[in-house]
Amino acid sequence: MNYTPRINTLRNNSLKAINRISSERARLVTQFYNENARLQVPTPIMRALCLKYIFTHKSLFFEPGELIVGERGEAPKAVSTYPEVCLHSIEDLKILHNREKVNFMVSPEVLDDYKSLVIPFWQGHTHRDRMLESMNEEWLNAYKAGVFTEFQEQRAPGHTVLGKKMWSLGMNDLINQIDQELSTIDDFSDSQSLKKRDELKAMRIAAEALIIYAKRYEVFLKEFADKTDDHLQRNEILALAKICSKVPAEAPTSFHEALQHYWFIHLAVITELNPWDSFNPGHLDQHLLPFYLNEKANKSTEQFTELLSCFWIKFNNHPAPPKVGVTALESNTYTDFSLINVGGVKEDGSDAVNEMTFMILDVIKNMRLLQPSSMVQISKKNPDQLIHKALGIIETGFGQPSLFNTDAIVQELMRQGKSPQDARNGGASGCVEAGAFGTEAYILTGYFNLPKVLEITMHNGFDHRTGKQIGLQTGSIESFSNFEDFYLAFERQLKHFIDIKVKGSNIIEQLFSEYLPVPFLSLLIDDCITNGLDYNSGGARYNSNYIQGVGLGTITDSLSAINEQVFKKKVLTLKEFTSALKADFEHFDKLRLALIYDTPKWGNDQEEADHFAIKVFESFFKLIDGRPSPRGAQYRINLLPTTCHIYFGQVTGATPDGRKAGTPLSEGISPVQGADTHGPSAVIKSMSKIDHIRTGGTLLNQKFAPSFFKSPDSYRNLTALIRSYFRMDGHHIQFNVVDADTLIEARLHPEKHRDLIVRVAGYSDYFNDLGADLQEEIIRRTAHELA
Amino acid sequence: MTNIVSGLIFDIRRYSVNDGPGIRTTVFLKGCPLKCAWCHNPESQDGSIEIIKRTRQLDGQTFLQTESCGYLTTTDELLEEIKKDSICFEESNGGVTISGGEPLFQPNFVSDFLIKLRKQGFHSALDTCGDSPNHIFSRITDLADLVLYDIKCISESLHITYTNRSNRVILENLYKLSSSGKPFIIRIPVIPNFNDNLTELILIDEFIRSLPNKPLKLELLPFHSIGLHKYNELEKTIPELHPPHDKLANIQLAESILLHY
Repeated sequence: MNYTPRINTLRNNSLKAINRISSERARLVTQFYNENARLQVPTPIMRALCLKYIFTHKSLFFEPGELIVGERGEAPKAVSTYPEVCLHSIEDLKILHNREKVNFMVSPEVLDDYKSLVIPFWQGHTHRDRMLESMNEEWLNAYKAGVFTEFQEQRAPGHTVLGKKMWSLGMNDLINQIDQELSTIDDFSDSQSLKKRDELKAMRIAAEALIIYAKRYEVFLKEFADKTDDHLQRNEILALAKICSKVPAEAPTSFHEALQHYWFIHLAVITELNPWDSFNPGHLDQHLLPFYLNEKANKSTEQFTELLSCFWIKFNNHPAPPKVGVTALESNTYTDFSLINVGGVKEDGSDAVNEMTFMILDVIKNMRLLQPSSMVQISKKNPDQLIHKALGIIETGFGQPSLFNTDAIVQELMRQGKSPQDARNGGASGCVEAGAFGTEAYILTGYFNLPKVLEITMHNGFDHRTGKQIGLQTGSIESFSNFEDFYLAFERQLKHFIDIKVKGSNIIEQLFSEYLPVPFLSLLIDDCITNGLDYNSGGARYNSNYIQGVGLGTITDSLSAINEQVFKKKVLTLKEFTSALKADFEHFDKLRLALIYDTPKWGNDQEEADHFAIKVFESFFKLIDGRPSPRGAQYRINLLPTTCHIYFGQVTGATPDGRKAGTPLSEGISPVQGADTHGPSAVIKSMSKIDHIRTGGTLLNQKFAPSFFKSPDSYRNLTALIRSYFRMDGHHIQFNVVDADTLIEARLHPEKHRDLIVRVAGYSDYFNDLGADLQEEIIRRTAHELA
Repeated sequence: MTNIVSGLIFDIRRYSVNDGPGIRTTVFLKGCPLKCAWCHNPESQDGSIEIIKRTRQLDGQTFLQTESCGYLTTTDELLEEIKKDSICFEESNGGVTISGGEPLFQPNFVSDFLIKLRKQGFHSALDTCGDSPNHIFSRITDLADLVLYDIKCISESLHITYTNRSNRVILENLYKLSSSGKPFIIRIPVIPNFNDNLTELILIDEFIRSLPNKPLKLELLPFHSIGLHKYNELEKTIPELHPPHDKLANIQLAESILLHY
């Protein structure tokens, strides 16, 4: 690693900073609503005024040496809470403070704020309360059984990325556009004219709010400079103050201004609400190139790199807001899924790889930070050199960057009706989710537990864990005399639960539109301003809702096992199989051995198993794709788990593939952990049998031992493997480079491996911060060791 | 009318990246004329289907299962399996490697297979120990695009002691192969107590220097004992001269003498 003294200090401070809860935002929001309880203004305007109140009153932070300023909380890693969305109880806060993994320090002052101010005001009046009140019994039953999760229970819809426009516009330009729109509202024939006017006014206030914040920084930095004796340092701080006087009000003109401009915008998005996933600057290499080329002649590579490094540290300072609820099992990580994109193609379809691409990749390698996440888009038009560069970082074993197929993403987005240009301006955000950057609201609504539906089908709609009839009565297990009949019953259950999920999401979507609009985010995403419509109400040019299927490998192998053992070999009846599962294979060792070792499995390029994956994929797709939502979005599918396959595994009994009750499901579209025994080329062949183009993202995780990268031709062969997968329309592949021994050692001696970052599922995390189950699973994943 | 030719194989390995250029599928044929003392694939030696006892782990428990090792397949069936990785071959300039055992132990099967590979446009490599009658050797190596040729040692008596066979034909065949202009790679297993000493390494070096054409490259394969458990599984006795499992070959010496090619 090679850090300048400045970066070394800032990076160390960021790594050392303790993750903690900041009650500042909660306090300000509560004060605002308290003071303005009698204010009779439309909701969007109220929300914009609330943001303005926060930015007018929140504390400012500056650490000498910083070149990019602004923190969401009072200091690095002080994470805000969002009581209007979901309210942490005192017990929640204590758990966050005391829990072993992914903990957040909660100071007595924060507890006091919550006890005396925040909880009394919000209890019973949060979005989460409204939401849970609005859900009917069948939704609650399925939710509690673990058939699906709900993203918008505790976090706001977000999941979008900054497009091109903000790199050449300032907030004042947006205000001018808003004024223009306001002047052309047609009160004669537009039945929505009042609502539009309110929304546009709200956007205007939100834009001003951020300018206020930046101007406060200008004053604050000038004061700081006055107190600084060192001449050089004073000039540096004054230069920062000057930048804050310009951006984000005006468009940036320098490289440094561009980064600070984005960072202010980022902070406003994640301060307004707590969108999942947070936010991200999109094609950073393309956006920064013009600024870089302008200054290249009079700035050294080190100066550019230093600015980028400061930018990276800002992301690392911002952990994801933690959830409420005693267990918080579903998805637990500090990562807030800001996924930097580089590579791929330009709007006109040509190769986008440029000098900035490589400089950014060098920064990723050198900084070696958990956040931001990073990915490389690879198009057939990009040179192999780009892949080699990415492999050189992957080899160092911190799980970044992940690799994406640009040509597949463009096809996926165009299938959904985007223009070629908007599709090419898109990419992937969060884990692996395809979206049109700057023009699309693509909301992830929740994970969907495919193997659980199979389990419920085997029990005629009954869930043994919660002791309730939550599904349809699709037939007793004795009634199925052939595989097809059984599968039809599964498909009926699948439709039943997808219907429940979609109904719930449709209500939640309306709650956000009604109660929690996001005028600031709406400024950024086209065409919210011209439509005079909020991001949460369908103002974006494109609107999609996703349901993320989880456990494709587990369900594929389970169907394969039922077909093989019950209907083909007739080793046992379906009823006997159900008994074995209920007994969690206790006294069924031989059966389990046959299921694990002698049953065709997904991921080996064998039709016997793979065609079941296609079957499930087609059912899932058919039952979801194209369904309309209230804001005018279409429902789409993708196949990714984040860490939800762990939670879903805990609520799912033993499965016919030999998996024991409570253990993790398979992850993404990846084979069941350890079930792929024919090498990576067989894996990618299997994975490409499902039609990635009709998804909005799939996740394939391949764990490689470091030795895989060591032979002289390894980069060439891995490049060929990636190219092969992408030629077959594979959406994404990530490599986890670490050997099992290292991981076992790390589990025994976590203190010696605090820097060990592993790829989890669409993102990277510190190995030590993972739960025991997830650690165990990562150890078990097949290491494709070369003898 | 197609002629159905069957062969006995014991494994097919995909994404094989150490047996020739690019990403390859390696087919392992069963049966070998040599009985190398260090052999880590004892299941490859016998030219018939054998019974192997495999242990399988489940939740810390060990289960013993009997399986047959080796199965008959036709060249057409094999080709279907090979085709599965066509795209990887194309992207990596890879192909198919025929290994063993000793492929030349099943000459008709191998020649038929090589002809079919050529028709399909797949690059082929033949991994051989070279212990085969001259005319068979020439006929088959002619059909391959690349030959991976094993040399164990030059001294005949040592070769007999450690492999049960003379190396005269082997060295003759290598000389012939080199004269023919066919691209070839020499692979040398570096085995402790056998050929990792100055005398043998120098003899090998001199022999390679005497060849009319140089190999594309020379690869050293250091001894490892990963195959030891297989002797038990096959209920075969471990050869008396098998190096101890913790013994390391003097690979630095071999490199210093041989790796100038």
